[in-house]
Amino acid sequence: MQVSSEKIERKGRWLRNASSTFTAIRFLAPAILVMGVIILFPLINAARLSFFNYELTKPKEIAFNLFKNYSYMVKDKIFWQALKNTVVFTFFTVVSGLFLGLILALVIYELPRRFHGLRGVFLVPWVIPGIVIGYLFMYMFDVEIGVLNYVLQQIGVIKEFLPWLMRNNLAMFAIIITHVWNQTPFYMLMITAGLMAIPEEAREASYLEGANRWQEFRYITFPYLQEIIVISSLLMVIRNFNFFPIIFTMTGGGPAYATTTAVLYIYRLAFERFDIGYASAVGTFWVIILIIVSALYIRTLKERF
Amino acid sequence: MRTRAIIVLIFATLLLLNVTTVFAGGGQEGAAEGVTIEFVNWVTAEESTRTPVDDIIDNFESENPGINVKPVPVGFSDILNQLIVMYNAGDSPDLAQAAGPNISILALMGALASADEVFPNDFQEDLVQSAYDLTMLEGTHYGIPWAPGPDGLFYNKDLMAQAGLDPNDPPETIYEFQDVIAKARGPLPSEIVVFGFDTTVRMFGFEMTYPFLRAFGATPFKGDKVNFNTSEVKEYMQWMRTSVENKYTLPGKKIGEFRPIAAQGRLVFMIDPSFVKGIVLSINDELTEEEFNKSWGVAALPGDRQGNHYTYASDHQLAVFEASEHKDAAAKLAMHLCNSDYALRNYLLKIGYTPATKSALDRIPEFRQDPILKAFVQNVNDTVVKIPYGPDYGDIVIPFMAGVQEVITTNKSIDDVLAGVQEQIENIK
Repeated sequence: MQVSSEKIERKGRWLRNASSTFTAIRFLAPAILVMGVIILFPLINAARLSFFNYELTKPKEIAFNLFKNYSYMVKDKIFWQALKNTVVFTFFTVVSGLFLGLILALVIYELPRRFHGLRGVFLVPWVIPGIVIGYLFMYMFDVEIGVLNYVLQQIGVIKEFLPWLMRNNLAMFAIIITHVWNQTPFYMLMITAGLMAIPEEAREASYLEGANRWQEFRYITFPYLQEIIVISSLLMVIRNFNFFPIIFTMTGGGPAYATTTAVLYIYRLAFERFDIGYASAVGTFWVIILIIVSALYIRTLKERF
Repeated sequence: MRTRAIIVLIFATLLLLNVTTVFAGGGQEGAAEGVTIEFVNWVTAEESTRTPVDDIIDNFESENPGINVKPVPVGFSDILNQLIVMYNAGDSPDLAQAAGPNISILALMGALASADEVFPNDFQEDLVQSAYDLTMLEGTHYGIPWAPGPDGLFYNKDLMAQAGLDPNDPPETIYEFQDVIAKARGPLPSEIVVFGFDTTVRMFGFEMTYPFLRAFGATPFKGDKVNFNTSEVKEYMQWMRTSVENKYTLPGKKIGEFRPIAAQGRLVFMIDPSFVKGIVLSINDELTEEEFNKSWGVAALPGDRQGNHYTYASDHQLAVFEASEHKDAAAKLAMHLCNSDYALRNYLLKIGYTPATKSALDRIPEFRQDPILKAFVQNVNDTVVKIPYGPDYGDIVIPFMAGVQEVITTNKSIDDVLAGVQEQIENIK
């Protein structure tokens, strides 16, 4: 009698486990299906198309060409310039945004509680869509009507209006400034969360040990923030590698190719030159780079947590 | 109780299905009575033209009870992408609006029906030949002009006088033009822009550039060969660099961005089609049509040394798709949009286009009375030259326009820039 009840219990446990697995699959299936259709399928299809000569304007000449698109990519100077621009853009936007976000977070954290509402105000640039920011700054940087030129001239920094968006070195600078303005609140928010998680005891101990403000930051605050800084900056590296709207609206990748980043170049190849095969090859290469960066990100997370 | 609820639910569902079917059936019956034309265009996507074009479509539907029109608004910059994608997906529309290289590219793909196939001969003969020929590819027309828009040289007489120039003597050649803009810069205040020019990296940017290349004697397209690395192109590039350095024009602007400047009375020379008058008037409410006509004159674009003038026409065109099952109805709509009295009066004349048919000038005398339109008919329309579009057009002109931007924004040697452009073009896959 006892044996059979054990059997029943075992069977019941198995059924419960099986049922929970089945339930999990049922819950996950729609999401996996949707992700598969809208993300995985286009990715695989783009990788497939990258081995084809596929120009929309020449439908009769569509043919398998193995690695021809990739070998063209290796020789394509614009592609390498776009790659360089992407790295420059990503590096400076992440470093500057992080630095400013850190300062903002620290300053607001130190202010009396009644000023903490400022965080909400500083968050505004983060919630404005990229396209809107692009147009806003495009007019601010305009050579003719730009308010920036006017202000700089009034305070004596420049003598005549500068064509910010139409000079090679200034255009990249302008889009980096714009992007940093948009992105800094994100870092501020993440670092504020990190600051709030620092145990009060640690601060009190440093105070009792006679540490000054710099020492407190160097030996208490910063070590606690390190992980959140790594996570947020890696996240933004991935995001900025793919960033499109601000650059597209402000400069369209110009002057010439001075601000053409990889995603902008892919867009131009696909929708201005209609060369889907080559655009897919560049896109596939770009996905591989992003997968490597993402893998580093995940590895870092695993190591630290 | 539960069983009863289920029965009620089933009955309710059946009833709902029945009602839906009846209505759907009614809809199908209605559709079977006529045909529906899908018309892809940008004019119903733009605020300034949506209302008059919708009105013409309503007028067409009331005159042709068996034909319904479904306008599909697509932005001007996206229309070629959309049409190419629709065609490749086997979802071609019946009729589409086109401009620039669109008809040539779509015709090369085999997407369009020939004009001979869908438009009657007498209508084709009535079309303004120079505008009609812009829809031609390898001897066959694949569309019709709807709203011709060749670029003319608008000159602001008040500002010319202020600069000490003769307001009734616009420059004839590119060399006179160079001279005039240099003379105008000095006496005019810095907020006055001497001339507006599109230097964006777009296909449209090149279309505006092409007549000026021709004026310098450059002929980059010769048969299957494309060569931008010539002394004439270099001369053009040098002129562009000087124009930006000496602040005759603003770099990197779309042509549309100069229109507000013109509306503020701060532009001396404006290179634009006739309809720009309507746009300028709509930007500046205080400016009257009489004032505009008094201030602005229109001449052909500056020509070459021999006095030949060239212009590009950003005509709005219409094309019927080969895959359309209702080609006759689509062609009927196209002819109504292009040549009906209703469309001529309520759209073309109102916006400021010259008509696409010869008979329209006789039927609607107002076209000859407007001084701007009259100047276009007399001086500009016959100077249109066709750009040799092809499937690699984008591959060719985008690097060239990037080269133009490199010249006007850096100190790099023009020879090096042109060599780089040529290398890119020769390495097209």
